[in-house]
Amino acid sequence: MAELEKRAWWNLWVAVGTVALFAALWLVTRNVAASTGAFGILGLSAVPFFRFRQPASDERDRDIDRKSMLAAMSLFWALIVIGVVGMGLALGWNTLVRVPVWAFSGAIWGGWVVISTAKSVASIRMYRAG
Amino acid sequence: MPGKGQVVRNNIRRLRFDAGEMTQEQLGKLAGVTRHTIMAIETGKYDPSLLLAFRIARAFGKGVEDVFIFDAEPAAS
Repeated sequence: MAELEKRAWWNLWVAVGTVALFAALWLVTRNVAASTGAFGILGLSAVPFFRFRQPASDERDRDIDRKSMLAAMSLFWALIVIGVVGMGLALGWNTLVRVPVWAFSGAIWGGWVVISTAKSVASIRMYRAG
Repeated sequence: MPGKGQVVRNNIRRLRFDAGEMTQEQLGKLAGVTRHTIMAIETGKYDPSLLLAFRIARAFGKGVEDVFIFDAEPAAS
């Protein structure tokens, strides 16, 4: 397995672990704000960058990295557009809403999870395909 | 990257054999890429850049067209 494919698997497990921990905390505490603490483990995505010896990458790795990032950002962009339009249509474009802080921070963390998951899955698929 | 109906084949497996069973790892080192990339090129799953194609050809002491063969389907009439 290529070194950068291993990194993609690592990021995928970090993202899946984050969602699982968030769900577990919510089930136990029934407190969404407290459960957002689970997003802290997203920091584990940085672990591979602390390796003394960084894995060698070549043109194929860079090609896969570029394409997987494009796929992830496309999905993220589609979700943003759907979310924005959906909210506008569901709530009314001139409606004032009060949003708790956890919803705002959770949306940012959630966006990171979406991008990280989509990029990892796309990378793994491309490495598997050749 | 080839278009539809166009395929780039290669003789890397045979050339490695002719070069005394050169390993993919050894060829990768000579060409400056990982073993995984050589494997992907050899099995036709990845088309290398022109620069990498030249590097691979040079590793065998051959020209690019001795290593890579461009197959284009005849245009439909």
